[in-house]
Amino acid sequence: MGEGTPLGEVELAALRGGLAPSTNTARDLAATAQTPCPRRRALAVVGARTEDAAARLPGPAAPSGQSPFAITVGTRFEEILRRDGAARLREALERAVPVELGELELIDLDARHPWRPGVPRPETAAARRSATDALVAACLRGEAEADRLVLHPRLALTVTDTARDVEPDALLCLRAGRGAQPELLLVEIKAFVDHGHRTDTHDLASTRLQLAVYALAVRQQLARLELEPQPMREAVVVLRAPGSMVGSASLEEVHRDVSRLERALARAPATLSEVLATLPEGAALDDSATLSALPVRYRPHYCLASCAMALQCRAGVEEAASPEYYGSPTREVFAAIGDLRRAHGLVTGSEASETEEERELVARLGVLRRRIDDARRRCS
Amino acid sequence: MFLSADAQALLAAEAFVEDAAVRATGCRHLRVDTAPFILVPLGLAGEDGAPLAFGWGRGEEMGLCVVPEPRDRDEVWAGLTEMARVLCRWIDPIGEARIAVGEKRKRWVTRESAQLVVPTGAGADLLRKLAARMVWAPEEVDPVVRRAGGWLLFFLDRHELALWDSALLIVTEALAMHWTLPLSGAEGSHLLASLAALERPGRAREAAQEVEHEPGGALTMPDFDAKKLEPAIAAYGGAASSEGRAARRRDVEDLLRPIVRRLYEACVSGLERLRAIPPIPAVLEERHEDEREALARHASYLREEGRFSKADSLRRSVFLLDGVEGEMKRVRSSARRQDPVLRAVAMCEGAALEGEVLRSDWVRQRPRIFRAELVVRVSGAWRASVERFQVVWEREKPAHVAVIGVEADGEHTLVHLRSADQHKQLREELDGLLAPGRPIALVQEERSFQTFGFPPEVPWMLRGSDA
Repeated sequence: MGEGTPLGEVELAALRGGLAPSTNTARDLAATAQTPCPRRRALAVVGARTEDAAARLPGPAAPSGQSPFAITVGTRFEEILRRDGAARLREALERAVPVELGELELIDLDARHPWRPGVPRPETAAARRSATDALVAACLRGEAEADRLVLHPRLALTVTDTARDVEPDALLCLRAGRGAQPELLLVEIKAFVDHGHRTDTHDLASTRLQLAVYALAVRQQLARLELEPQPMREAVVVLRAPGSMVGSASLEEVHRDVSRLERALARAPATLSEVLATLPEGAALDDSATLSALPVRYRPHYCLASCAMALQCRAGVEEAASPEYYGSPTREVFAAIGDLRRAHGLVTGSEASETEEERELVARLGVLRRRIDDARRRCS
Repeated sequence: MFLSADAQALLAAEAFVEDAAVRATGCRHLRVDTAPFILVPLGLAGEDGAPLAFGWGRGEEMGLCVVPEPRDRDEVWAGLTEMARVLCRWIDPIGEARIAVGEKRKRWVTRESAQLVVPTGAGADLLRKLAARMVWAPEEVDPVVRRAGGWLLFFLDRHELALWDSALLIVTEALAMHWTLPLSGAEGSHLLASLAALERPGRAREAAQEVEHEPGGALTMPDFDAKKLEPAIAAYGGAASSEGRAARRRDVEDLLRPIVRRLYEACVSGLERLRAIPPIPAVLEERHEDEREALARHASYLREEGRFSKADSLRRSVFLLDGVEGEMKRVRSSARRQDPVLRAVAMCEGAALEGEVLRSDWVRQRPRIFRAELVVRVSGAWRASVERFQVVWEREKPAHVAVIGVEADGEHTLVHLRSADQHKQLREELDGLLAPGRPIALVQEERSFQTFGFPPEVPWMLRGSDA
């Protein structure tokens, strides 16, 4: 991580230029652990929306956005869980949390410190952060009178030289958690259906990584408040029970995801200064030339499913005939050549090898090519 | 599926340069029935496992059932009941018509086989979610729904556990098994893109990209949902009279029919392309009978109203895994024996060998018991990855050989082999087959757990008291 004073929202806005700010910092940071793409990382570091960036890149962008049905179900599910003093959320948590929950005091920060049109956002954000700090400190110092369920707590997170806020769906502050010690449990609500062992593993992995971002923020918060560190090994994921709007909660291990996220954040460009080093002086990421100049790492399975810039990146690797066009295992097999046309020419003998790596490749794959061609002739 | 990473990369480079699909096998490794039951499921985005429409048929004609409000339970059960009736009308008679086969007529199999065809893996996933819901349907729902759920689970489980009998054929998977497309695996899971790439050699990538924004899996596209489907569903929900609801239902049907129809036609076209590849008959026949036996067993289970568990026990899982591993080895070995292209790929891994018999001698072990010792000349370099191989020949009884030495000989390799079987009476017959100058092919001998009882390699703590 970087040193010195982290950059705040104003400096990041300057770097984003005309790009719209991302609405989900935790999801963006979690995505950086799933893809090594420097362009995507740069956008995540400055907190910009990839859809907006894709619109400024040359070539057709991937159709962006979710289906309205998906958006509706997500909003409706969370609303139902929070309704009537979060009765359904409490029910779900009672089944998942490993200790007996007593009377839960519900603290809804959306009600206490709502986002009001007339009030500057930083002011409300600061109020929500302070309230969260006070609630967490009271719980861990044993000053709270009841277990608390905090809805939309706000946590400050400093990573990649930047200071940003993240908001998990809920935070459970237990006075007597496991080992009769105060315990914090992060809660994330997702509207996808809990199919037991057949639940989509990619969705669950993304959720765990998002929780890992929150876990990092909690760690930093505890250090800042000079409180006893919490292991944050597990967190609660609330999914939808099949065919209903009832929550199905379970404890998910996140400690490995926290380590994975930390490792990913340490990869270049790890800090904002490293991102800036790749850009011309005074450049902003809303400039098409600047964006295009950032290197990409195209991974078809991941990028096509989750990145708005995927089609433009694909067009780039296709034009260059890069083995990255196919992803694994072609990418690894032809890593030393980097050009599918050249690789094909070498193994079919229409082009001569020039380097030691090319000679090795021909020695290994040329025989296979000849044998496949022989077998094909016998089949036809 | 059968190819090494090197072979996949080689064919991928060829497909990219040609901008066309290239054949990845020499033969067809799947059964394709003359009139399989094609089922095209479509789900609602965001509502995991909520059916929106089903298309079905066995030829050019397609039946369609639409669930105009997939978030309404009653509508969902009504739609599933309609689909269940059609499915059971096809599969129930097949499951019930049984014959006894085998030497002692103790093996009951169905008279004919059944094959369910689904367009994509995403479609199969959606069907599994629906099937799990159907077998646990509430009592008030028509029993045909539970029965059809049980049938769907049969096909889906066979695909997971005995993939090779083709009881369930997923078109995108089958195409990817037999062709390398100039597309990544992610793009290949889109049925329309895969077919477009197959149909347009020379501009396959462009053709695939032209159709990739159309629904090619199990969901409609966000843009279509926002502009057309959501208003149509809302209009259906808001209709005051039964006539109005019927009219709005037809509107939803009119929106979804072309999408389902396109996927259905793509399935028909994909099956045609697969049928054009010559199959490997002997192996397919064998798998075919296993599937018919399982089908007959499953029909009995459903007739007796057998229930389905929500998850497998650890013990059952170990048995199932053992079965899958054994089956995979058997099928890989068969595929290499039958398909020269796959054998060529395996040869480069040291798991197969093709060459010419240079010398063959008979070494006497005991009176009337001999072992054959061979020297086989292989073109190019070769190195064995295992010790024991099976000879590829027409004789029913397999012959096993062990590699006892490999030596380079200019541009060739000389492989010294010794028969692992003791031959008594077959010497004369083998003399002809292994005579110098004859071509010979060997494939790696696949070993698996014993076929009955608990696998010996499983740790004792997983075996349970009765293992």
